[in-house]
Order: sequence, then structure tokens, then C-alpha cells
Amino acid sequence: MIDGIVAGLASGTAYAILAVCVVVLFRLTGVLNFAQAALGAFGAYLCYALAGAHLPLWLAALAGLAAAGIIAGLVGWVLARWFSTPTTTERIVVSVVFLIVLLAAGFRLFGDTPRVMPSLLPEGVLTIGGVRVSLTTVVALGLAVAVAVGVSLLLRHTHVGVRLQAMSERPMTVQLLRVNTRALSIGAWAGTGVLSALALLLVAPARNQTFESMSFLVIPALAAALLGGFSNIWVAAGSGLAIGAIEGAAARIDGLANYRGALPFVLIVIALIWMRRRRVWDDAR
Amino acid sequence: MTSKTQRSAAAVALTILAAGMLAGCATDTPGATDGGDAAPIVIGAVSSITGPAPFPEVPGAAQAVFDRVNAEGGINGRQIKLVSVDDGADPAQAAQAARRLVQEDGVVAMVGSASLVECSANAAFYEKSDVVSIMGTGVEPSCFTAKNIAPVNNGTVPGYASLLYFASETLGHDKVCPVILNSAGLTDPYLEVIEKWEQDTGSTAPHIDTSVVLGDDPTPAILAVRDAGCNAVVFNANEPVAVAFMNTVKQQGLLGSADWLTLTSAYSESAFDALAAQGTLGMYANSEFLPFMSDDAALDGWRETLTAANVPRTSLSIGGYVSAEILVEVLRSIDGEITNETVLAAFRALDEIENPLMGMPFTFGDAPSHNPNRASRMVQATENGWQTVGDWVIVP
Repeated sequence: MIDGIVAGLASGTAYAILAVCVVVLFRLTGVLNFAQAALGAFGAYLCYALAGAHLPLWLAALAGLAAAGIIAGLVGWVLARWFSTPTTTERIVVSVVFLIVLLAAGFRLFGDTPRVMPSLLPEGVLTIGGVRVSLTTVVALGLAVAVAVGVSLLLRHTHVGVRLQAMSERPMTVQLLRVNTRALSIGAWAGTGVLSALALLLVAPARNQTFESMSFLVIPALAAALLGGFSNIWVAAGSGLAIGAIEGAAARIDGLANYRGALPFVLIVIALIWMRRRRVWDDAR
Repeated sequence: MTSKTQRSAAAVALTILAAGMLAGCATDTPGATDGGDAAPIVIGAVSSITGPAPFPEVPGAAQAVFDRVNAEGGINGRQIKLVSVDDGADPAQAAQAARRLVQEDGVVAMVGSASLVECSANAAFYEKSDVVSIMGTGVEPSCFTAKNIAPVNNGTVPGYASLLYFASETLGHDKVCPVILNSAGLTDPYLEVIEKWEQDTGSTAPHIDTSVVLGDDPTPAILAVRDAGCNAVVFNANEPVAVAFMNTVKQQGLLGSADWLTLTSAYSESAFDALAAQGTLGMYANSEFLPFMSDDAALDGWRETLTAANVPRTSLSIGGYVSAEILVEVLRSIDGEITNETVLAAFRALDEIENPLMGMPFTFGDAPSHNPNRASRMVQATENGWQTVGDWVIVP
């Protein structure tokens, strides 16, 4: 049971970082980015493709991170340029189109043959509860916490943070105050793009996934973000870890093992109903 | 007003861009009807040449065999013409392609097809039209249950069974643990062959794991087989998943405590490179034909034919090659007119055809379903590359 939980936490770190990115972007731009994981996967895969072409790993990693940031920034620019006050439908359409384009492009570029995925960090293994956990997983966990702390501080205590929050809540007012919202929102897109690529670069070597399976890590991440009401970074990060842990623990219980993929979602539905029990649904939205 | 128009224009542009990327570039080989003194014998193939798992080299290898046969004078002076059509892994395209080949091009048989969707789309049509299909690579279960379709590859479930027999009988392990990585609706056939293997060999699996979905983190399954004390683990991974699975095995420090065996798609150069880079050599895989990376002299003909035609030499390409060779042999045995009916009758009357690249003779006969190749040769990833281990393992 304990070993199952620890094993699950390793996947949970990826869900947590992605959930934090999803929440941050949603809070700042109002866009629910379905392509958050695909974007990170694109950066990570680009890094492995370049490393496979004998580029030094650090350079390949930088190129991968930069590519994820630039692509995300471009989407931010498209949104700011053509959809300056987007409706909910438009935001969702842009997000879905972005996911489809990335999935198609990623599959064309990277295929699904196995790749050599060198680790950014030296190999190291810790044994916790009878499970060996790689050093990268621990670092990824640290990154998830650091991102959550960093973003909370940034939003609450800096000038840029306040402007960013204002931009999402009262975009017209902020524009009238002549704040450059376009640069801010492009920055938010690029920043979360780089972070998700970094997260997947840390998680990928332990899993060696395909581009497609990496891209769909966004589903548990979205579930975690939902638990945080798409606004609470801490709840989102914690929920990401919890979803991983529940999946891991269920795998070690006979009778539950076959349903473990669905189990976190059943619990999420229960949790949401409980959390919103005093509210009228329309009101809560 | 302008901003709204602009906005819709942008949305439309984005959608078109996305659709364009998805649409791919399906290409068909047009079926020309050139006459001549002796009209060519027209053969068809429906394959997934574009799509999520493309197999262009399988019909390519069949074409290479026909090129060679044609250069040697053809079948009693008649050339063979292969019309290879792409189904783009779309059942509707596959159904359309088969109808066009049979009804318009007048193919006398299908050979060297390799498709993700063709069997379920076309099995009934082939039976109704009296057309035989000797597939290079059959993927779906329905390829192995049709009256007129005979794939020359094993298929995943018989391939999996061969690994179980190899682990218990050849390697002599008493604690063989099957791990089935789930994908929709495909678990039960595995459980059936596991039960049959237990009865045949008197083995009892200490643990059968079905807790992980194909593509998910396999750590829970690996911890479970560790706790069950397994000394051989047979898992049904595809190429990238096999590499990820072995990485987790290594991370849990279990590489040396058991033998790890998986399906034939892991038998590739790219998988070997990834296994070697992450330090997880030692894994076994089954090869459904004579292992294509070995230097066995029986592979010379295949190697020369494919090199001459500039077709990539992969394990799957042997399927296209073998199916075409079998068809050529059957065509040569036919006296008189060659039509789809006479070709089908010749296959029905066929006793058996030996091919050195297959571990058991090809048979067809009057059986209601066909799985003529249930033999695998095992390969192991070693420091010297993939090495063949032991003799053919034939699943009873």
C-alpha cells in the first residue's frame, strides 16, 4: 500500500506542475489550456531529438525550453492580437485548436518510436517505503512546490503580479489605464510554456513515454486544477499529487486495480459535490 | 463590426490550419489497365500506409518479390501487377479500396496487406466475393477468424503465448508471471492463452497482473511481480512502452532478479539503442519470422530482393515478402485460367508450403479461420545487439 502510494506520487508530481500551470494561465488570461501537457511534451521531445543529433544536452534542453516558450508566446500573441476580449467559446476553440495542431505536428515530427531520453540530472536513487524513487522525481516534486510558492508570491506581492490579476479580472479597465496587457499575457503564456516543458523534461526519462501519452497527462492535471476551482494554486498542486497517490495505492488493492484509472475521477466528483454543497450550481460558476 | 469579422476570420483560419495538419497526405496507386500480349495478373493490397502506425514496407516487400518474379519471366509469361492502396487506417477507406480492387480492377487475390482496420472492414466482403487475402501483417483479432483471410504473422496473442512457453519450457522458469497492459477489450484473449499454457505445461502463474493500462506508468505492476517472487515476466508492450517498462524495472532494481520478455514490436534497432542507452539490456522479444537481424543464410534472398527494390528491411517486411512468395508458388501451381475463384480453390486444396523464414509450414485448407504461423524465434538484447536464442517455439 505504502509502496503503491510512493510509486504514484512520482506520476503525481507531473500532474501537480501541469495543474499549477493550467491554473496560473487560467487566472491570468481566462484560457483553459488543454494543450498544456502537449506544449511541454513538444519542448521535451525537441530536446531529445536535438540531443539525439549530438547536440550537447544542456544546449538541447535550452532549445526545447525556448521552443515551448516561443510557441506558447505565439498563441498568447494570436489571442491578444485577434481576440482581445474573447468570449468563453472563442477561448475554448483556440485552446482546442492549439491542442490538435500540437498533437498532429508532434506526431509528424517525433513519431512513436522509442527515443533515448537522457536525464538532465545525474542518476541517483532513494528508497522510500520499499520503492526506489529517482532523484529527478524528487527534484520535480521540489519544482512543483517551488512553482506554487513562487507564483503565489509573484501574484500577491509584486507590481507585475497585481497588473496580471487585474488584467484577467477587468481587462477593459486595465487597457484604459494604458497597461500593456498584450505583453503581460504573452509573458504569462510563454512562462507557463517553459515551466511545463521543464516539468516534462524532468519526468520523461523515468517514464520514456510517447509524445501522445505525455500530451494526455493534461487530463489528470485538469482534474486537479478543477479541484482547485481553477483559482487555488495550492489545492491544485496538492490534488495533482493526491490523484497520483490514489492511482498508485489502488493498483495494489485487489479488486480496485482494474479501475484505478477511473478512481480519482469518482473521488473528484464526490469532492466537488461536497465542496459546493451549500451553493446553488449556477451561483458557483 | 470589423473586429468581429476579423475574429471569425482568424477562427476559421486556425481551424483550417488544424484540419490540414490532420488530413495527412493519403495517396493511392491508380490502377491502370494496360493490355499487352498477355494481360498481367492483377493482385491487390489494402494497407495502412499513412496514419498512426504506417506499414509501407509490407506491401513494398510484396512488390519487390513481384518485381523479381517479373524480371525472371513472370508466371508462365504473364507479369504480375500489384495494386497497393492506402486505407489511412480508416475503415471506410479500407472498405472502399477493397471494393474498387475486386469490382473494378478485377484482382485475383489480395497479398501483402498490412492494415490496422482492413480485416473487420472487409472480411465478409472477401468471403462473399470469393477472394483470398494472404496478409503480410494482420493486426486486428478479426484477421485471424475470417474464412478467406490468412495472415502470415503470428498476431499479438499467439506471440504472447510463445513467450510464455519459451519462459517455462526453454528457460526453465517455475514462476512465470504474465503482465497484461490493458487496452480496450483485448484482455480476455490473453487470459485464455494463459489458462491454456498453464494446462499444457502444468505451470501455475504466481501472479497475473492486469492493473496497468498500456501507456501508463508501469511501476505498480512491477512492484506486484516483485512481491510475487516471479523469475520471469512476460508483458505485452509495444515498442516505446517496452523501453519505458524496462526503465522502470531498472529503477526498481529488479533487472537481474527475473527475465523480462515482450512482444515482437520491441525487436527493432531503435528499441535496442534506447535499451542500451538506459542500461537495460537482457530483455527478450519474440520474432514471428526468422530474426531479420541475424546473419542466417536463409535471409539472403529476402535481403537481396528488398535491397534491389530499395525497401526498408524490417521484421514486418518479411511478412510482405513471405506472403508474396507463397502466392507466387500457388499461382505457378494453377493449370489453366487464373481467376479469383481458381486462386481461392488452389489455396483450399493446398497441402502445405514450406518457407525457411517461417517456423512452421503455411497451410490454408477448408478451415473456417486461419492462423498459419504460430511459431516464434526468440531474440535477446545483448551487448552484441539482438541475438537469436534457442530453436523455434511453436504454440500448440
